[in-house]
Amino acid sequence: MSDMNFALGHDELGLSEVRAVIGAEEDGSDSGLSRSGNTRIRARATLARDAALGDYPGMLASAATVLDVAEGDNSRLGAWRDRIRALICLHDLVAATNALELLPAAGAGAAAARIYALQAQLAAQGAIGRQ
Amino acid sequence: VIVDAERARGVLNDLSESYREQMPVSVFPLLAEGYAHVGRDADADAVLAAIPADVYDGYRARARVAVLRRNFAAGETALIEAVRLGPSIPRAYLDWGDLLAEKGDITAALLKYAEANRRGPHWADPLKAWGDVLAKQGKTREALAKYDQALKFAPNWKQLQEAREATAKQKT
Repeated sequence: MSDMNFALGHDELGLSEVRAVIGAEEDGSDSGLSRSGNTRIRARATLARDAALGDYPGMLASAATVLDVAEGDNSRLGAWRDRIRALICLHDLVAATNALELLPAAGAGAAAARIYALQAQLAAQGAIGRQ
Repeated sequence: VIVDAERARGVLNDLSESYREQMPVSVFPLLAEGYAHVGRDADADAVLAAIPADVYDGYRARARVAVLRRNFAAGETALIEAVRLGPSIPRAYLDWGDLLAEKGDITAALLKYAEANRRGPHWADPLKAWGDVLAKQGKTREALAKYDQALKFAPNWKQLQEAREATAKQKT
């Protein structure tokens, strides 16, 4: 749900949701999920919180955790794109460019759109320092 | 920026409704600012108009385009809305500080950078902006302290390294 709120530009709502997830995890609330499921959800929530609050070193570390626990190619690609976003926001353009080159070539559909969007973010960061 | 953002918009537009909903967040702010930077004002305005009224970064984009046009009042109006939508999110406070610095209201700009830093204490950008203003004021020691704080979070940021180096030279 929080992913959708961030995707729709409702950052405050997304942030409050991921904070609730992290808080419930720290309180030891029973989510009914397996241990690995909890690890994945917590890692994703931490990544989203870090991104919202500009904690890009934290986001980079969270992306590595998400990558470690990701199941399936789509999840792994998503974690890699998050790593690239974090590097762009850290203004580490060399590392971001190198990481972007490791993504599969843009073909069609949503995967291609995401690569173009990342390329635009990288270009914007290089040209106008924007994020 | 424009080429890549237009490509992303084109691809997303061919996808399902759920992806089209995400365009105003992932692509439109970049595209609008890109157009404004190269003087394509009508295109920038059209893209901004297509961003729904509840998108946080949409107001940031409106503000940044307004600043490019030296329309500070419109920029502040947009940032008031961004902060209303996302009071805990630091990005709009940084934009607001940049707007005020551009306008020449340095004291108010520093307060906004401090606000951004309070909400995003690990974000290098407000610290660099803060350092830049202090350096311009000739407060080199304070500026270097801000740059050093920022470098802890973004050690590979070239412009930050260069700003620190230039300020350190001023000091000696």
